[in-house]
Amino acid sequence: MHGYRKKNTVILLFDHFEADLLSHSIKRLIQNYKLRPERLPARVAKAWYSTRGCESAAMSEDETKEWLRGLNEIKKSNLRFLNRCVKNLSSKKAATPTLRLRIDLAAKLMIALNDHRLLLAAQHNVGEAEMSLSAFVLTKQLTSRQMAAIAQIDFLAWVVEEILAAIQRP
Amino acid sequence: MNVETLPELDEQTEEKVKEAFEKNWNVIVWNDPINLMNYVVFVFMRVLGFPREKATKHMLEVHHQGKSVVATETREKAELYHQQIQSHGLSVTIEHSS
Repeated sequence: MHGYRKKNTVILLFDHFEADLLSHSIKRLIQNYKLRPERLPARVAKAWYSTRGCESAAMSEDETKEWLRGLNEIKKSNLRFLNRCVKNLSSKKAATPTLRLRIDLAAKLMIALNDHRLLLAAQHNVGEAEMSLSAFVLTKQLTSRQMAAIAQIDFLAWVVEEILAAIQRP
Repeated sequence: MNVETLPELDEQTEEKVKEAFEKNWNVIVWNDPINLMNYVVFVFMRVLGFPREKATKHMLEVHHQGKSVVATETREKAELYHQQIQSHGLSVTIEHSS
């Protein structure tokens, strides 16, 4: 994977394996963005829709519901764009699957991918301890699902870093 | 000429007006093991309009001390920051500063 910026466009180039992996992540993200917070698995809901801040602000139950609805709307507003990304990544015609995104859309993609990292970590109980284990220890201490989750989290971190670098390049 | 004066505010209304305009709500960002350091800097620059240096200082505070007060604002603006920062995936709360 390689990213660069040309004027106001961020260009992200992938090989087919990376494109498939990214496409798979975005598809799952789309499914979860469509769900209302109360329909998500509790751990994921806590990661995306934590109400800790609403409690510390002493918001009423109705205010909190409204606040959560607003947060869900923000996520859902990206659905069309994310579907377009999946379509572009899944094109088998291209020798090098490519995303060409305006800077604001590249930022949206990065935020969405970061959301998926949070989801994977929450779903598979991956915290600071698991993230800092060496590859050798990983195989001894974690389940295969946790290892797969960490591999995806790290892959998405790489994509996020590439987008960030491309956005911030003058 | 008759001069009309505004009626005096009762104590409760005065308190509400004061509360609406006083910048006494802290926006606090908490550490977490998943968000990348560069990404946190990006969010502070994008949402709070911080220059890179200030954003980096607050990110390091979050990283080393577990949290950072990134803004002290009116309740309305603090609530806006709260939602915007959380929509970027960071762990954030708002608290009355008194």
